Amino acid sequence: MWTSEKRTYENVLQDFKDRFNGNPRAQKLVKDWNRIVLLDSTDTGSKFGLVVKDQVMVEVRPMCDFDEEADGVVHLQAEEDVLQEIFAGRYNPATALVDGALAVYSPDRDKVKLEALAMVIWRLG
Amino acid sequence: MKGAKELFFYVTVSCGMTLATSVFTMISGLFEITTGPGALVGIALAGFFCLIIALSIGELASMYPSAPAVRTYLKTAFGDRASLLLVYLYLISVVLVAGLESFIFSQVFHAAFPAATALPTIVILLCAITAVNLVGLELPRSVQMIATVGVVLFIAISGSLGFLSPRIPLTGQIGPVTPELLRSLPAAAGLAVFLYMGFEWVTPVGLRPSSYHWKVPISMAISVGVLIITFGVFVLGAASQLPRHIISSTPVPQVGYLTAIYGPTGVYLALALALAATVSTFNAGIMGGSRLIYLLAREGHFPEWCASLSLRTGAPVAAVLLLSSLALVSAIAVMAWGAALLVAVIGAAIICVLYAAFLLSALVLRKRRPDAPRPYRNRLWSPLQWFGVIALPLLGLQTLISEPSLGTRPVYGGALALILAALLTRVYGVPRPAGPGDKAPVPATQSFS
Repeated sequence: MWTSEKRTYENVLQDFKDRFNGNPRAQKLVKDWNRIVLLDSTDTGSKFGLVVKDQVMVEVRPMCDFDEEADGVVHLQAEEDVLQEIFAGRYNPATALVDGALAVYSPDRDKVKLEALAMVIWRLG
Repeated sequence: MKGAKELFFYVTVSCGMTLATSVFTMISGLFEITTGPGALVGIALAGFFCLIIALSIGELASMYPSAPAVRTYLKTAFGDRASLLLVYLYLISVVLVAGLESFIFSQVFHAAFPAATALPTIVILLCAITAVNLVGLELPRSVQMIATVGVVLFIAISGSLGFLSPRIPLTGQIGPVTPELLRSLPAAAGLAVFLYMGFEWVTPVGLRPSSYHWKVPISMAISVGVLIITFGVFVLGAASQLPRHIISSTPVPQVGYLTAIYGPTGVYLALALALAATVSTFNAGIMGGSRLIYLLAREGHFPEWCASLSLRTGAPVAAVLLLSSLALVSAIAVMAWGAALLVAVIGAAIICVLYAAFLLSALVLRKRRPDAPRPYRNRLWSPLQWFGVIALPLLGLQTLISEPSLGTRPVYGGALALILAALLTRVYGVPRPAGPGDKAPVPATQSFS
């Protein structure tokens, strides 16, 4: 059963998906970058996957289970509040990483790619 | 990658980050101030301190997994301004060491190809490293692991060969324990900390949350243990093959040593060693340093133009170019003034201070955030950590006045680095006004376990 809070968080993610798909620069940035960006909340336990395929964010889907070993998973872990702020464009992911509020488990290039996406989509910096 | 293989990967990353070509310059510096056995004791003492630091950083890494260690740990413990001073000092040491590393590579290359002069080699090397970083190329994990294992085994085996067939009896170098020998040990330990510089760069590399429960934290301690043995065996080998004054008279003692062991082929083996270090350590150093500059710029603590990213490759273009340019300037300065050892000594002193700050931050956060989740909690006796906090900066200071051939220049150099860091803190210590995406920092107390 969804609580209203969870619905808000999911709405933020859906809104992010629309922004992503409506931004040609973001799409250019993810050329040949097929990934599942896993959003893992440490406090609520919610898990969502942002599925990027062929330069399109094809879906935002709840993920009950996932394979940590799978290729192409970029794992983001933070409190749900923090993730919501990041994907609403109110908290720069680079700052969140430095603050220790966000953990990203991925190769360095994927971390930079996420940062670049934030810059393009939210016109940060 | 799971279990033992994953742990092995972290150990190789941690070891690989320390195995720069300039470690041999520091070994030369050690032989200038003490004998072979003295150098061995210095390496062991520095290794002991680094083990304490590694376990303390391990705890911090489990609190803030995947975070940029030098920025996050110091910021959360000491606040923005004090930590920035240390971060700028760290960046200065990165620039100095990058210049030193380029110069040392050019000297090894010159030994293999005498017609090659230093400046073109340095320029070509830095251009190649810059290009690799701009394109965003990364070595596959398996190649990184094999390269590091190869380098560690090669250094250890080469050291063993020299030690087992000595030309100079080691026993002859162990004289009476004189006050002079004892006086040289603190400086030797301070200098030897340089040999371990960078082992903590494994902290952002964890593949998954559970990696920070013990694998990443413990990998640093294992890595330091491996390095104590590797450098120790090499020093024993060198002291058994070459007179002390020969080792201390060159910034590339490994060339002479490997030639003594393997004959003329030794020069090319030294070059292969330098190439392996350049491909892994130096490249990763430029990559990590430029990421740090980029992050600081994003926070408003560095010029804004350093925060540009390539949308095609995702590389922090301006930061890479800035760091490479500064490394070139540093390398030219090292070359023009013959300042290899001077730069290494200043770098060692800075690292001693920074490692003390890491220890202190672990202690401060234990007090300030006692209930914050720590999937890995070190079992160190806290007075031992406090001893490190006090002793390491003193060792760093001692290091600055340790090399008779350098006179007071390291002291002036160290003071200059501190003044520069303070200036940067004054100019960029106040973050730019909040803009889109700049939410107020939240206390980082959540669990990542």
